Amino acid sequence: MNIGTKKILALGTFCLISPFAISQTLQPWMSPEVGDAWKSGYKGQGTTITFVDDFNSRSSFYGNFNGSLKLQQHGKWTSQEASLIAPMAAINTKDFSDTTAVRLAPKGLNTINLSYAMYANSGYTANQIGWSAREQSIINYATNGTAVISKAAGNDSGTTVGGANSSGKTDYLNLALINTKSAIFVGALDKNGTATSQAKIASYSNIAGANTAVQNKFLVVGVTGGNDPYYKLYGTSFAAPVISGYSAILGSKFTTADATKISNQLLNTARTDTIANYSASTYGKGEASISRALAPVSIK
Amino acid sequence: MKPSKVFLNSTLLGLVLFWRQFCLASPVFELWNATSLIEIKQGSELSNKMGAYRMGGYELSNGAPLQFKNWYTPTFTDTRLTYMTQVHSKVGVIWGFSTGENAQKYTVDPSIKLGLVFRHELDKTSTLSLRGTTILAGRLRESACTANYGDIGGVQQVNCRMAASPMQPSQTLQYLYNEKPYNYNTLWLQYTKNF
Repeated sequence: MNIGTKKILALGTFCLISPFAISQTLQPWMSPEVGDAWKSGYKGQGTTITFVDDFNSRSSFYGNFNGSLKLQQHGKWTSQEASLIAPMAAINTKDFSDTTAVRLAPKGLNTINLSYAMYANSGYTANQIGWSAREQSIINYATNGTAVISKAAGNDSGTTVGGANSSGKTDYLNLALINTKSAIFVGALDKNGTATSQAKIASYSNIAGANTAVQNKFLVVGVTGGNDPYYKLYGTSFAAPVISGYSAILGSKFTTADATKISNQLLNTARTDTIANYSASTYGKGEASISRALAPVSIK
Repeated sequence: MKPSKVFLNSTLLGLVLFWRQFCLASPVFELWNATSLIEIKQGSELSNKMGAYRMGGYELSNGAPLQFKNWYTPTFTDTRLTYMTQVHSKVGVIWGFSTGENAQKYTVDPSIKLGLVFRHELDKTSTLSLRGTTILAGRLRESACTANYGDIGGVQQVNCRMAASPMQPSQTLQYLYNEKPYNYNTLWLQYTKNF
């Protein structure tokens, strides 16, 4: 990202890795709707999720998403999380050090998971940012509706998407994705909500804000930290992969639907009855519901 | 009374008397006397299979509940009557029929049951029976639904029970039930010892 004085030079690799061992075990941190979705049918096959994240640094985190305590980089956690929800989706990884354009798979639905932010001092517009080829390609895909962009809303404790945080910084990638066709901003709930046990916004999560363009592209999902009682993985970084997984499941069912239709389906079928004191300015469209997104409008 | 009418009335009476005499002395009457009802059954394995889905359902995309009850509840439950007619001291003919059943999204065709039973007394206290039966028709056929998926998927034919699953609608159609009756061919060998 170039805003006049700072430029990231990057050489990196774009690699295709095999999907994680196909797992069909419903984990405690998953919404119960995921298990219902697995009982019959596809689980994301024919689709691709690309993760732009840290896969190579020495910064690692302990956590447990599938019954095993592991220490691994941020990107391995986010990609594992989505893979556990959509076990048949192909997973592509792009290390954060690689700023070349993101390449999409030629066939099937493409989803790009962005569990990171691009911060700079507030006061600029998104058009003033000299994006690297990577971010520019992502913004183009969102603008053209050629890939579902699942963007972590951010962990600035109630900051609105596109707004300045308490340190006077703005996530300009969020700003650039507003008003695009297929980007979804994903905030975090403190748990998976149900109609009888409603969830609320996680204390660290950013919110939709007053901008209706953001509200209409904002979803929330429960982030419970994983299976380990001590090592928890919190943050909207782990909310975005849930939407990425849901996108893949939808894409494997509705194979002729483009990224815009897939993202709209997730947004239009979100639930507000599972959220305590729902408001669009906090929760956007509401809590994502894969079971409703898969269901017909009517049937006879 | 005109002669033609006298002739007609006599002929009619003669036919009635002839038919009565025929029934009392005919083999048909003897066979009926040798026939026993051996089974009355309401419901069947196929009927029960579809009945299991009556309690199912899912939510539509707007959250409205959709229950399978109306689709999988028949107007009349499949009922079978089976008879055995003894044609010989050791041989009987098994015959019967079922009514079938109809619901909104499936049918079980009516069927005919035919078979033979052989019974042999080994000694005063034990017998050996061999029974074979076959069921003709009686097939279960499940119908598809028409689902509207809106902008993401349009209108498509789909397996009613799986319309909200992650499976492609066209792929769900292969899971529509189309089955013969359970145990449509059976062979029983039974040994009985009285003590």
